[in-house]
Amino acid sequence: MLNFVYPAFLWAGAALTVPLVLHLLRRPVSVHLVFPSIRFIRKGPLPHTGRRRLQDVLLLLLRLLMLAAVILAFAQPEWQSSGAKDAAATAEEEKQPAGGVFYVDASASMSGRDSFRKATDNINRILEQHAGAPFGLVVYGKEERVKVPPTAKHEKIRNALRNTSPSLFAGKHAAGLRQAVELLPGNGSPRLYIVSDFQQTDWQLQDPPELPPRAKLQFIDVFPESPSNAGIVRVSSTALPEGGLQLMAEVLNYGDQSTSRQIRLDVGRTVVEKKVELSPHERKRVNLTSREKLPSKGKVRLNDDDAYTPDDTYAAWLGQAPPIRILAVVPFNKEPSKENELFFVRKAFSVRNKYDPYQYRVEPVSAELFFSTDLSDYQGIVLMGAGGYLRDRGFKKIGNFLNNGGVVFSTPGRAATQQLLKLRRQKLLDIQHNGRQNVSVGGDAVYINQLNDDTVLADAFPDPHDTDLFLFPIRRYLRLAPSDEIDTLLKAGENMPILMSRSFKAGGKFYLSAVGFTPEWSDWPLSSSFLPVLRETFAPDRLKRYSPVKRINCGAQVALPQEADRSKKSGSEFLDTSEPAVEVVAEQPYEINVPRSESVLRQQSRIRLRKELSPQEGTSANVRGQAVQDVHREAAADTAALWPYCAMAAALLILGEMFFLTLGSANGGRQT
Amino acid sequence: MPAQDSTSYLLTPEQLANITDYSLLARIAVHGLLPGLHRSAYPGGGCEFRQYRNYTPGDDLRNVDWKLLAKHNRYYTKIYEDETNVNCLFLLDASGSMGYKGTRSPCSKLHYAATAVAVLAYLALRQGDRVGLVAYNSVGPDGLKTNRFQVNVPLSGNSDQLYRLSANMQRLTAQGQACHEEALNYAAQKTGGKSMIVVLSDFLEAEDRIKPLLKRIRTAQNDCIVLHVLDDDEIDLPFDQTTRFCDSESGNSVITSPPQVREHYTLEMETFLQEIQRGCREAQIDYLRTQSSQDVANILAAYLHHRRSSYSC
Repeated sequence: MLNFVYPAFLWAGAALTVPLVLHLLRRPVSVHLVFPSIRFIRKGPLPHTGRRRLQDVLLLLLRLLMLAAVILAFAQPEWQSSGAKDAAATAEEEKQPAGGVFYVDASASMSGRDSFRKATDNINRILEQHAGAPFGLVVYGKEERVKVPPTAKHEKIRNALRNTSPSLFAGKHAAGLRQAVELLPGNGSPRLYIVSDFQQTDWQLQDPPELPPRAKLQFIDVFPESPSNAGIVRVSSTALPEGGLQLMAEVLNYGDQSTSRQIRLDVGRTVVEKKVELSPHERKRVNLTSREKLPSKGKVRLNDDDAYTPDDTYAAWLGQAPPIRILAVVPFNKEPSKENELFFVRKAFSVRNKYDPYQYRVEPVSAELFFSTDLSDYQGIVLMGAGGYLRDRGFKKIGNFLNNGGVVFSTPGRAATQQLLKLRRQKLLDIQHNGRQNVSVGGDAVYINQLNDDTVLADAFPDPHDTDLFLFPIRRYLRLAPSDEIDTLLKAGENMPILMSRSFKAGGKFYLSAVGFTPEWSDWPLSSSFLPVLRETFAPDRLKRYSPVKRINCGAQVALPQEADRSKKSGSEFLDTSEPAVEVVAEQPYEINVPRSESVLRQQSRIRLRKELSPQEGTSANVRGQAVQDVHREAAADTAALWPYCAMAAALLILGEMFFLTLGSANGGRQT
Repeated sequence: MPAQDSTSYLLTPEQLANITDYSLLARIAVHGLLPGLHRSAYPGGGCEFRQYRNYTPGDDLRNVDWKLLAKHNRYYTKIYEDETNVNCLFLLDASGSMGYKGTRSPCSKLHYAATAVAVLAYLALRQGDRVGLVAYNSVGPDGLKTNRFQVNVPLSGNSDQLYRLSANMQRLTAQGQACHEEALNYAAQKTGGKSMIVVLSDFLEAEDRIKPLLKRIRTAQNDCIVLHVLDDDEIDLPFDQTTRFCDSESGNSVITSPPQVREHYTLEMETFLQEIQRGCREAQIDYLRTQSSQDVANILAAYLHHRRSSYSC
C-alpha cells in the first residue's frame, strides 16, 4: 500500500497545469507584420511544422513527468506491504495470541484533558481481546513510575494503571523503552505497544533500544482530538517606586486556533485579572499591576481548560531581587592604606534609589585568604591593589571566574608591576608597564580627556562634558601600553590609558584602572563620576553570572548552595523540584515550574520512530483483528522509501529534456 | 512654446553640430529678391566681378569701364555677379509605407524623413532662403480621401518658419497611398522654376511614374534633390519565422517563410532601387539613398560636403 510521509506536498500537483497552460498559450503561430510593400514578397512554401509539434508534445510530457517526479520525491512515498506473511502463519498467530508489553508515556503532556484516560481505555480493550496472553507494563515519565512483568493476570495491569498518573516532568523515553524491551518475552512474536501522545519534544530519542527481531511494534496514539493549548511561559516582576508591583506575564498559544483566555494573579486577598486574545502560535506579553504590597511568592493562572492544564499555572517570584555579590580583595597586611579604597568602593555600591530594584553587597577578603574563597556565589571581584600579592593559583581562579562570565575590576597598588607581570604570564591581560608616574612633584596633574564611545561607559556618560569626569586631577598613575586586543575606555594627558578592559568568553570582563581609588592617586573617588563608572562596569544586565530569579523545570536536579547545605533545613543536598513552587535558598529565589517543552502540540513521525526502534525493518507488525481505533495506520508496515527512485526519475527526465532541446535547436539551425 | 518643443523633437544639438559647417547651395542660377548665397540669374547688383562685355546702348553708364575707354578708346561694360536667396520646397511622402519602423531602426521612415527636412530647412533658413513643405498622401487633413495635401506650409523665410514646419511634421501620420503626381505638379506650379525642390519618399511602386515627373521638374530649371528613405528590413528581409506580411498601403497580405523567399526579394529590391537611381541620373537630379538606421545628420553632412565640392568645381 502506498503511503506518503508528507502528503501535503501532493497539493503542489496543481503546478502541473502551469506547463500545460504555457504550452497551449505559446503554440507556434505565424507572426503578423505590417510591411511597407509586399510587392516583392512572393508566397513561398511554408516549412513543415508537424515534426516540430510532435517534438513540443514530447517536451511537454517530459516536463510534466519531471514536475510530478519532483513533487512525489518531496512527498516521500513509501510502500507498506501489509500481510507479508503467508495466510497459514497469520492464522496460526491469530489462534495463539502472543503477549507483549505496554509502554505507557507518563510525561507531563499526558496529564492533559483525557490523554491518560484514553491510554488506559485502549490498554483495557486490548487486554480483553487477548485474554490469557501474558502482558507486561512499564509506565515511564522522567523515571520509572510503574513496572509490571509479563503476566496472564491482567487485573494486575489494570490496577497498576488505575493507581498511577502522569508526572510533571518531561519524558525520557529512551531509558523507559529499554526497560520495556527487557520485559519482552524471548519466545514467540511478542508485541511492544507504545501508548503515548507522541509529542515531538519528548520523542527525540537519544540512543534508543533495538527491538528483538521477532518482536512487533505497535503505536497507540492518544493525542487530543481537538488540540488547543495556551500556557504561561514566563513571569517577571518589578517593584513600583510608590509601592505595589508590576507583573509581566508572557503567554503563548501553542494551538492552531485562536483562543481567548483570562489571566489572573491571585495572591492572598489580591486578585488582578486581564483578558488576553491569542492568535494561533502567538506569543503575547500581558502586564498586570497591583497597587498593594504583595507577598514574595505567588501564582499566575490562565483560566479555562485546555488540552494541557499544568502549563496554565506559573509559580512566580514577586519579591525583591537578591543582592549582587562583589568580592573585594584587599591587601590588609601589606597595604593598610587600601582600606580607604575599600571605603570608597563600598560607599559607591551601597547607594540606592527607589527606582533601582537591584542592590550590591561588597564582601571584603584579605589577599592572603583569596585562594580559599569560593567564587561560585559572587558575580564580581574588585582587586584593590591586591593582584601583586596573589599567587599563580589565585590568578588561575580569576581566569576561571572570567571565563564563566564574571567581572573583575583591578586597581593598582604598590605591587602593580608584579600584578601586570602575572596577568601577562597567565594570559589574562597583555599590558606593558612603563613605570609609575608621579606628577604631583614634578609638574601639573593630568586630567581624563577622552572617553571611548564604543564602550560600556558611553551609556553612563552620554555627554561627559556635563559631568566632572574630565575635571578631577590625577596626581599619580601607571604608564601602561595595552596590546591591540584590549579596549581603552578612558584616556588622560597625551594618549595615556587610564581605564582598560578585555572581554572573555561567556561574557566575562576584566577592567584595569591605571589609577588607584584613594586621594593619594587622584580626586576621582571624591568626584560624582566615580559612582557611575564603578556601577556601570558591574551593571546587572552585564553580569552574566547574576540572575535575579533562577527558573528551573520540575524534575531538574539542582544542588543546594553551600550556605543552604550548611543550614541542613531540608536534609537533602538537592532542591525539591517535584512540584511547581517558589523556593528561596541562600537569598536566591528559584521558580520551579512544569517544563514548557511539554506544552508543544506537535507529534513525532511514527515512521521515523519505527526506523529508530526497529532498523532491521523486519518487524511485520500486523494488526489484523485489533479493536483499537486510535492505533495509527502505519503500525502495519514493511516500509520501503520510494523517494530516491522519484528523484532519480526526475534527474533522468531533466537529462531527457536537455537532449530534446539540443535536438530541437540543431534542427532549427539546419532549417535556417 | 509648443513650436519650440516640436523643433527639439526633430532636431537635436548633436545633429545641428554635425551639419552646422555646411550650406545648402543650389546648383543653378536662381531667381530671388533678397541677398543670399546662391548665384542669381540676374547679373549686376553684386560686388563680385564676373566679365566684360561690349557696351550696348541702354547699359547703365555706372558700369562702363572708363579706364579701358581711356586706354583703348572702346566702350566696355563691367558685369558683376549677384547672389540671391532661393525658394526651397520640401515634398514629404506621408503614405502608409513611410510609417514602418524596422527592428534595427530607432524611428519610423516618416520620422526619419521629417528629421532630414528639419535639418535641411534649418540650413536653408540660416542662409536666408525661403522654405515650404508639402506632405502628401491620399488622405487629406480631415481624414477624407481628397486631393488636398495633408500638410501644406507656404514658402517663407521668417524666423519662425522652422518651428512651423516642425510642428506640422510632428502632427503627421503615415496613412493612405502616395500621390506623387499631385505633389510634384503642385511644386512645379508653385515655385515657377529656378527653385530648389527636395523630394523625400520611399517611392514604393512608383518607379515608372516618378521618372517623367522628375524630368518635368528638372525641365522647369529647378534644382531637385531626391532622398530615398528606406528601412533596413526592406532591403534584406531579415525575418526567420513564418510571417503573414500585410501591405501597409493596400491592406493585402501574403503568408510566407522569409528565409525561403529572401534571395528573390533582395534581387527584386535591388532592381527597384537601381531603377529609381537611373531615373534620377537621367533627369540630372541628385539621388541620395538613406536607411533609417543611419544617423541622418551624418548622411546629410557627407552629401552636402560632396555637393559643395562639386559646386565649386
